[in-house]
Amino acid sequence: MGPGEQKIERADFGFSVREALLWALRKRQRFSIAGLSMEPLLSAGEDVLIRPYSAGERPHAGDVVVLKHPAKELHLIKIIHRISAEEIELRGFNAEHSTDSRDFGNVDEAKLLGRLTVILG
Amino acid sequence: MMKYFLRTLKRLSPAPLVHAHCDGPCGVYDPAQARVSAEAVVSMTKKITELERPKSDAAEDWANYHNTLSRYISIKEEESENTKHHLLVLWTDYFKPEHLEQFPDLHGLFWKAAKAASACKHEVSSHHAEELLSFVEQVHKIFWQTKDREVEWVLANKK
Repeated sequence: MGPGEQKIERADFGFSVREALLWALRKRQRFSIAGLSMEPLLSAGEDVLIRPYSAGERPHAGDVVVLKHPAKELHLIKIIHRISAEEIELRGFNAEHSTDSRDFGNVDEAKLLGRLTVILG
Repeated sequence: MMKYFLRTLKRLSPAPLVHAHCDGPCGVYDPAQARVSAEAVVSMTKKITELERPKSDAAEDWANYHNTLSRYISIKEEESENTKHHLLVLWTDYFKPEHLEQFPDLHGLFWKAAKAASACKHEVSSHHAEELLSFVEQVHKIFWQTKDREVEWVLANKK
């Protein structure tokens, strides 16, 4: 299942006391969004919280993830479009204006830093 | 309260950037750029073929003739290259593999259009200039279909 078949909304990533606590305990990582490929879900300048995948936990299609760019020294935020045992195909939420797996190919799980839990704004 | 906290936090301790990355960061594409250049090629080709030679032997008349002809040729050359450039940007940056599934002749169309643009530089050919414009029209139609929008093909220069 990919973002096309699954509705992903900002409301899915609301702030909560639990998330605040986990952030304070450094179980969450804060990032700031740059670029347009996740509009209108995420806009440039907004901060988000990311939860690293636990040991043994598998990512799912539809997860909004932060990953290391396969070729450049930067971090990307994309959605898992499809996932198989070997590789992960990524898309931007705003697929029309996104550089993603269609350009740089599929990636392996080791590239993922974690998944989006909260849009701080 | 939360907003104030977040604003202060962002100012005092900016988070590392994570890129919602797009190589064409503006995301604005429009085949109209190629259309305007291709129209200029058609127009300059027509002007070159219709330019009358001076009737006199006066040096100044001939100098003016050569000057005008050179300007027409130079603009035709430049606009042919611009058409090619604008088409290549659409081809390589805008169109994605799923568009190719929908329009299997896409690569062929761009290839033919780029060849026609080169021919317009090498030659003074109304046939190739019109052909180039018609390829741009086909790109225009496909482009707007991929965006589910109906955009009329309008020429700036009336024929």
